[in-house]
Amino acid sequence: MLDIPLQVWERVKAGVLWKSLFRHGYPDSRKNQSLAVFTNVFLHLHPVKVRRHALAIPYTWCMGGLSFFLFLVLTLTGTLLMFYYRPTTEWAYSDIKDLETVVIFGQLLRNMHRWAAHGMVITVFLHMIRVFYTGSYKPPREFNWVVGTLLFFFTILLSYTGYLLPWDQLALWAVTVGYEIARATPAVGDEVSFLLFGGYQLGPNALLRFYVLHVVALPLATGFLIAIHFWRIRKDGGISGPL
Amino acid sequence: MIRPHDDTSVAAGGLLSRVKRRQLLRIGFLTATLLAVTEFSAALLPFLWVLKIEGLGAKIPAGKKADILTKFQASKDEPILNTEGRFFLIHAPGAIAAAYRKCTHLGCTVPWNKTEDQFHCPCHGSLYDKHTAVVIGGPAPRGLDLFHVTDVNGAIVVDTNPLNVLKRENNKWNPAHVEVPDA
Repeated sequence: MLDIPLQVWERVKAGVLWKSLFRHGYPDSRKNQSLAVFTNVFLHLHPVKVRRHALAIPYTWCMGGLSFFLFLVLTLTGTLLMFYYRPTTEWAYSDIKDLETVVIFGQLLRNMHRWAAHGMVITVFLHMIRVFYTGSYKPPREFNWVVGTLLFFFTILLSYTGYLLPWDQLALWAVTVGYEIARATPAVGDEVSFLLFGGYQLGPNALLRFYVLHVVALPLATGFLIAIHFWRIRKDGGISGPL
Repeated sequence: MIRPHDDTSVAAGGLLSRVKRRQLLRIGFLTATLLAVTEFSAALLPFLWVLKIEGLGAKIPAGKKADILTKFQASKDEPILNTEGRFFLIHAPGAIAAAYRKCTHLGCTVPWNKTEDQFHCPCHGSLYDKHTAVVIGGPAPRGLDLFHVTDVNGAIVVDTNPLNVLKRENNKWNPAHVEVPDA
């Protein structure tokens, strides 16, 4: 019964198109398996070999991987939300309401974005706790711990800037609190908040600034740090093991 | 740990016995990925399909019928421009009509020329009549398309959907196109 589809499959695999996409077959020796990972653009960030203990789920609870997954979900859903959201005081609130009520799957995507954002704060936090309690911040991984804390900081900043975008009462007053906190900066408080929010109170400038930070500057910085973070894991000897 | 495949374990009979452990994981992972990508792609098109149309395409209130008629009377039937809906209200014979402001020649936006007392397209000089918006000169093949107009309790509402217009291939005013009489 399966003979004909299997024959077709074999012929496809022998064809020019397949050979140009996948240059070699399933790697069956250790050397070829390493090479397959080294030379593949999608896999090259991943270590060629993983230690057995690193696969034990109760050791890491996959919190780093889940944080990265949620970051990808947020990027994807956020990009789609950008199609309908205008960061102006005139439109922001009504655009969010339209996303909830008019746009097909708009409510689903917005909720995915929101829950993934909450989830990412939680998983990043749990990831940090795991790294702390397993002592994985110790040398030679001390630099990656610094990168990690920066990533935690960026996660919080992304949440905070995203919080303002619906431009409702909750957003307005929550960010007003942030404005007052920024003013408490020693010596240059007023200047700092004026620069960050583009005015003496929350207004169109603040909304636009937070939007640009939220959709361009912070995700770029976060993505850049994530790449360094992953690369350093490998350079520092892979996922830390039980002592 | 990486081990070479134990090919003696591949027994004859059934597909499952031929699928090795790693292949099974690989197939499972690929299937899950493919499923997620398919679901996502399927949701993408409905999401991007705009349901709330603003401006051209929407049903646009053009004012009270009585006010429009008074304006026509005071200005010797000068067409009334509606920028948002991209149309002119014109005083056709026995009707208030809405002419889509898009030249039927190559799509330029046609302005009203007060001194010439006609519509004069700046691109290639097509001329349209003041009252009926049919072509009276230039390269345009037919009169300006007419939007559907309704009278909702004395207020004029224009359906500016450009895919649902009254086309006048014969370039003549057709009394059957009267949707809102001027009396």
